[in-house]
Amino acid sequence: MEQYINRELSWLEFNQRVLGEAQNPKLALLERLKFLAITGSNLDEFFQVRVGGLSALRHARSASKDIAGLTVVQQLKQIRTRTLRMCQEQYDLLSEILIPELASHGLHITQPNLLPQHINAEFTKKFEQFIAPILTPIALEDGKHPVFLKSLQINIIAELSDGKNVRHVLVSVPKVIERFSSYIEEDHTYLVSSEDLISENLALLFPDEKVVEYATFRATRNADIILEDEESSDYVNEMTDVLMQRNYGHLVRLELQGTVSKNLREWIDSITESSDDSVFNINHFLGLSDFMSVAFSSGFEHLREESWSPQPSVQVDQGESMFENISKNDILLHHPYESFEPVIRLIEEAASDPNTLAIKQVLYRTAKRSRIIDALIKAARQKKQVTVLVELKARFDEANNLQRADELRKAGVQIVYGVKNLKTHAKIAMIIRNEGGKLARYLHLGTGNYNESTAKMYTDISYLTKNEKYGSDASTFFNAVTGRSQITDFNKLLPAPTHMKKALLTLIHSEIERAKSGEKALIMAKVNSLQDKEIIDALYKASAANVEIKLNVRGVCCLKPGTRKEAKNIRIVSVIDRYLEHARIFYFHQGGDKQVFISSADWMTRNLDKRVELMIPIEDPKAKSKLSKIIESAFRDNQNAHIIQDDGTSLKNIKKGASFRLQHSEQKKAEKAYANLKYKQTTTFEPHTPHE
Amino acid sequence: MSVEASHSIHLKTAIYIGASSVCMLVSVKNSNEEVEFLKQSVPLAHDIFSNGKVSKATIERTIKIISGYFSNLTEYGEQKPEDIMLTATNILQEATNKESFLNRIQVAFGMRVSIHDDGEMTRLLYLKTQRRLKDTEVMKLKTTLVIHVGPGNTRAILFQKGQIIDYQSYRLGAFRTSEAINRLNLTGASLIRVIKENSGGQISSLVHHFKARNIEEIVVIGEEVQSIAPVLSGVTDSSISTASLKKLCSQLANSNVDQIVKSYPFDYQSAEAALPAIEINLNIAKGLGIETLTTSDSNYVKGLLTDISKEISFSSDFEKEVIKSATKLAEKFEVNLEHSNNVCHLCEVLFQQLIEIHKLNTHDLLLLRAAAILHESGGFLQSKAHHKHSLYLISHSEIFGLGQDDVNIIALISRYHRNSGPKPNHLIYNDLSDNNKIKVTKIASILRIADALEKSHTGRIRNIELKIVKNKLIISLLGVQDASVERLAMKTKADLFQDIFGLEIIIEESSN
Repeated sequence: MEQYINRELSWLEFNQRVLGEAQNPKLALLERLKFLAITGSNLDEFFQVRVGGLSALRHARSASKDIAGLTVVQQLKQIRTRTLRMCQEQYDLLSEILIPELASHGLHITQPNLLPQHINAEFTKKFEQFIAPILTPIALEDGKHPVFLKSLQINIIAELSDGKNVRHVLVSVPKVIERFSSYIEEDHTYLVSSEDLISENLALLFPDEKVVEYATFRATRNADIILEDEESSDYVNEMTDVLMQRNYGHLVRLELQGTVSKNLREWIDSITESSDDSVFNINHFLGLSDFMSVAFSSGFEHLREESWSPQPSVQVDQGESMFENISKNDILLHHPYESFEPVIRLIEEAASDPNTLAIKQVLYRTAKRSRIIDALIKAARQKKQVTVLVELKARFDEANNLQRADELRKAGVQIVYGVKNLKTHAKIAMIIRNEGGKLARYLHLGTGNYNESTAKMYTDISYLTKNEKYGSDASTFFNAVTGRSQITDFNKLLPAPTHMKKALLTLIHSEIERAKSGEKALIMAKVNSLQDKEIIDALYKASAANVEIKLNVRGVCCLKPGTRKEAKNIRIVSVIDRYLEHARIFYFHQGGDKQVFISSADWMTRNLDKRVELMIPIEDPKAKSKLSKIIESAFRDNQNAHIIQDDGTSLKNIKKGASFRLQHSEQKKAEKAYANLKYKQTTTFEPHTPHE
Repeated sequence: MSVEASHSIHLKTAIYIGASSVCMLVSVKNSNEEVEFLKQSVPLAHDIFSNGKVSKATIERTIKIISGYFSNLTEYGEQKPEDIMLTATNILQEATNKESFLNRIQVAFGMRVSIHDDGEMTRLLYLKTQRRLKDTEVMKLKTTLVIHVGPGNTRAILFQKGQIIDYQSYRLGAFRTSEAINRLNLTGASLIRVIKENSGGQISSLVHHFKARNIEEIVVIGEEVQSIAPVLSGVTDSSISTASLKKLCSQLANSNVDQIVKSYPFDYQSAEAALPAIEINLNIAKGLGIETLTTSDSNYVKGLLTDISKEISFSSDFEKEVIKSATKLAEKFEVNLEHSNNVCHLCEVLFQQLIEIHKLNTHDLLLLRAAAILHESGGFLQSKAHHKHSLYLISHSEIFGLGQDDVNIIALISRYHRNSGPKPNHLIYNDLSDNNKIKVTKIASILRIADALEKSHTGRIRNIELKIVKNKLIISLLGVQDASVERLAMKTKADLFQDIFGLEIIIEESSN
């Protein structure tokens, strides 16, 4: 029996868990629609990258097998079978539950021809005013030549006839058009998709011809980027080329809407070069990810979940600068329950602080309008030494990264475009400050990106410190990634790919030895993905040696749980809730001298061996305790935690007893802490005392 | 709490151009606390030992690295040039284009590189060993040989009860050996055999020299052996068995450079020196019959830079070792030690009492003391013009802990203890910097006075008192009834003092 679970199938089970939230009748309708849109968006990326990668391997006739012993062809086949089943569930949910129930609340997601005529006429006006002018129909010559269609774009192919001749045209629905147009009448909102509006009004585009038939389809293309190893100065140009090419990789999925005639199907097959095993017949809207805009559109508050706001951290005194706050104590923040604002404040204050000498930061995926980038630009303009490592290989965000990189460069920021052959994924910022002739280094070390938008939706950890040993390590780290120095010695931080995996294996081994000598041995970890074979094998050995192992794995999990000797002491849960679980926390019992770490890295080979990452020991007892509780809480969650089964599927944890939901508990904890602080501030006066 | 800033940050920086890397250590000036350490590899030793000179590419790479390091420094605000030390390994002395390399750096950065000569290396090794002595009780009790296999030379310092007993240097180094055998393209046992043969002569000399001392403990220092220590001996235990070194040598000999870089803590530059360095250490240990070596798993280069960046101060213990070494040398040249010790004593008294006038420092006093002990060494060859022979003999000798510049100064001071004072056409003197020329003249003038006062070679002048009256220096010889011999001697020896300090010397007898 295989010891491992295939990575892709495990990921699909994760997406199934997300779909489970969309199917959860206890959740508000628009929250459910949001989860459905997430599953659609996830699948889009999965096909572009993972299936794209496998297809490329199949084209290259690769004979390689995965960790679970599956060949490329076997994997593609199983992925297709599993995805077809998932698609069925997605569309059953959309058409049979969500759309009818939303309609019953006055939100109608419908088709123009199903609307009363006066409303349909309003939509036609919208088509004429806003859509028709930007459409560019392409006449298809003979159907023998492939047409390069943009990945994930919806297209309409139509057969036209002027009575004598028949011709075919292709209309691609531009991304700039809102996917759903709306019309409000009294308490009812009507939403119509752009492709339906175009199809309905095709005759207006070709007034001298008759629309014989049409079909709607969406192509998904391979988008796995492989960058050639060139000097970093060439990366920018090369990446721009890659970005252009991304849309035109080979086809990995063809989604056809409704029934398509044999004639049009042949045309579609020829222009997309599709094969049967890439075709998905969809009986409803294509591109489920676009329902995100519906889920977040204004109004219909009664169809949403109660909102949770990030709370100000009680560790941060709002009346003092971040430098003063960090100088008093190290600060550990659990986002988004605790606001990301202190991290942004630190960079902003550094930018305008006359005593700041230098700022160094790694940027991976930033927000579109990033306050952090604004602050870095300001700092550079004020003649501070600002060094920013912009990772160009950050999937799907390169365009934004490149644009901001250019802005930073113009302001005088020293830009480094990542490390050759390695993706720089570490989340670190350092501010060097002159404090009365003494050098001080303030650090932010985190598990999430410097992205104000995602910091409101992902659970992450931030650690703010001016500990000199960490500061010295941060300098060593930046010197290494900016090419100023080889990797030298580190005091505290454990970077990948040089130190982290070795340290993890040593810690696992240490727990094994402790268990063998009769000590209590416990490993807990919270990661997004667990795939690295060496780590999995070490965990199997630990389990066999009676080390208790508790894993909270959100997504891919190639470790196969079960009652086998090497797995019997391993429990794996996966929490799927309102926020995307993203923090990486590791705990090793070490005979009671607990060692707790946060990290930017998952336990995946790509993170541990092929990326620049950081594993950060947390030594403050309070912070350690806070982190341990976060991991442990996942095992108490009987609302949104799923238990991973030995076949890779998962079952929701419905353990009896008091209801406990990890994310809700963390939110309430943060709210309560801040409320207590406010209460204390409004009921207690603290007098100023003269200095002695 | 208010976190305010007002003053500039006081840092000190040591940049070191080493055999296989260029490193920079930035630390806080007063506390020595490390701020950052940077390292990038350069094939300096490879170039020098394979082609006799530093290649153009290596020179330019060095410039690029240092330039990057200076950019890093700007992140801490403006730094004073005097707080930045730019130094280089002594193997650079062997490069035929040493001067053009140093000039290129000076043009690029406006700074002169100071090359670590043998004496400076010895001082640094002494500092390292002293730290080890503090930590390791056993070294205080046992007869311990400290071995440093460097890129070009190997140094051996023998300690007994914590004191230096002997010191030797050998033309035997990791890169020197590596480059000598590189072209043979050998692997495995053949490679090890050739390394043994190549280094055998020097190792035999070392073993022969120290064998009779009954070495009980060997401490090995060096970049390669310290890098490998954690892999071989675990993190906490710093002892290495010769058996594990032998096994390691066999593994290294059977690996290509890529495998070595992948499997061991070496980069491509240091990888080629790893096997010769370990093999030399192993064979020395074997030759001396020692089965377990002690080392440190700390970063060798970082430790070296920490010591370099410390103010050059010679501890009193270290000064004792220098004087001990000078005395040993004087014995070798059959110097009348009673006389030279008397002169040395008078020199110290004169130096201390005239400190306001000469403004020399304690290191200069050490040079004066060493010169006082050695000034008559030339008599070993011939008493006629023995001062000139002193110059030759001393400048070609080694004094523990002193670099060649210091040894040359001692040789010149000795040369000028009689007859003519310094002249521009005098060899060695001619090459000195202006500051050192003045230093030699000042120190030699004091030695001449002391030597004149010890003209009788009897040690009868022990206590003196000095007084300056207008443009005269009055030396009162306490307890001396008749100073006519000294007065006569002073006539031929006071000229230099008068020339440089503008003081006429008057000798007075004093019955007190």
